[in-house]
Amino acid sequence: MNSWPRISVKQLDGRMPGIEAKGLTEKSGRADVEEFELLVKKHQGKMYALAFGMLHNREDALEVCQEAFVKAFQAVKSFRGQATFGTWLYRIVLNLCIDFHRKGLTSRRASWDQGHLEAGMSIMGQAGEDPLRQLERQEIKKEVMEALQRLPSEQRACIILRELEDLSYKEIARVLNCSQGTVMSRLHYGREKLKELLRPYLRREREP
Amino acid sequence: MKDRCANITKILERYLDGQLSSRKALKVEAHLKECRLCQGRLAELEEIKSLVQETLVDQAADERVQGLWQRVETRLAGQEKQTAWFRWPWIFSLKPALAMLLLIVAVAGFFALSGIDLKKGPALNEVTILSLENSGPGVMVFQSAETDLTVIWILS
Repeated sequence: MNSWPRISVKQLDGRMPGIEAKGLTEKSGRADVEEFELLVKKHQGKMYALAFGMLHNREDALEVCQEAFVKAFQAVKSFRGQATFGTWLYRIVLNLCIDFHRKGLTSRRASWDQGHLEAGMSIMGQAGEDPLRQLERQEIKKEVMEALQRLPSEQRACIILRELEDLSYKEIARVLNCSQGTVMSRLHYGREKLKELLRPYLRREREP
Repeated sequence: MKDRCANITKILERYLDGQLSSRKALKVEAHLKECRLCQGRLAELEEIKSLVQETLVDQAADERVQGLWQRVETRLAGQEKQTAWFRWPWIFSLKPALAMLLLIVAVAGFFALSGIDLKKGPALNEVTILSLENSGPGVMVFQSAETDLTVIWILS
């Protein structure tokens, strides 16, 4: 354990104006596993949400996240500190998701299974809400997930980073290594497509 | 009005995402107050946004995420163990020793199989090739007259 790279969480977390300038070189930069654990626990929820949004499968998303954190640990020295550690992690997760798709490793069955639907229903049911309304909402969510999967991966990534992670255009551009104009364009076309796919479920369509 | 709608529509998504300057945001809000069409466009965008948010937040809630660190730690520990194994210096010193041992076994095996008496010190020219034939692609057969030894090479 002691031979693992050691680097302080304070250095890794938050915005850093140049990690190499702070002395994180191959010789002196060593990350500590206990400190890395804190980083994983801080970012795991968001990374999983991104991976799940991209892959639409729980087990695949967990696998990608696991791989992403292992890669992050190994590649800590290549982290230049120009962005936040979170932004850097998002990029690793997204690249792995794309690789996962490219290699055809994604599980065929989507994770939106009956079990989840029932679990959701029981939780909602306890809150005393109308079960029919809950069922309808679950169905809509299922359609939303399906619609997201039908978007090109670049548009899907933009939408997830914007809607779920609430990243600014600038931050999304950093993660995806593209211009802010490209981000806006992808968001626009992605939303247009979602609007088209989800039209039957939009309030205005349902309510006369 | 139509021109103004077209201009507002162009920046409506940026308004929705809170990515407009306050001056431009105020312009949009002023237009929205008097334009039902743009109000409808914004409402539609907001609904799509909230549907996606609600779905992703709901789906991202997975108890197994709490066990992610254990998975990562196991992988890191496994890699560390493997790295440490290959880092041992004796592994490298063992490689030539192992190669030499294999060579000795191979040479000894050849003489044992061929029946050549090493004490007599047989000359290699005493072994005559009875036949050397190509028995098909990648296969060669050698027969020794003195020792009834047959060697078959299978070449890959």
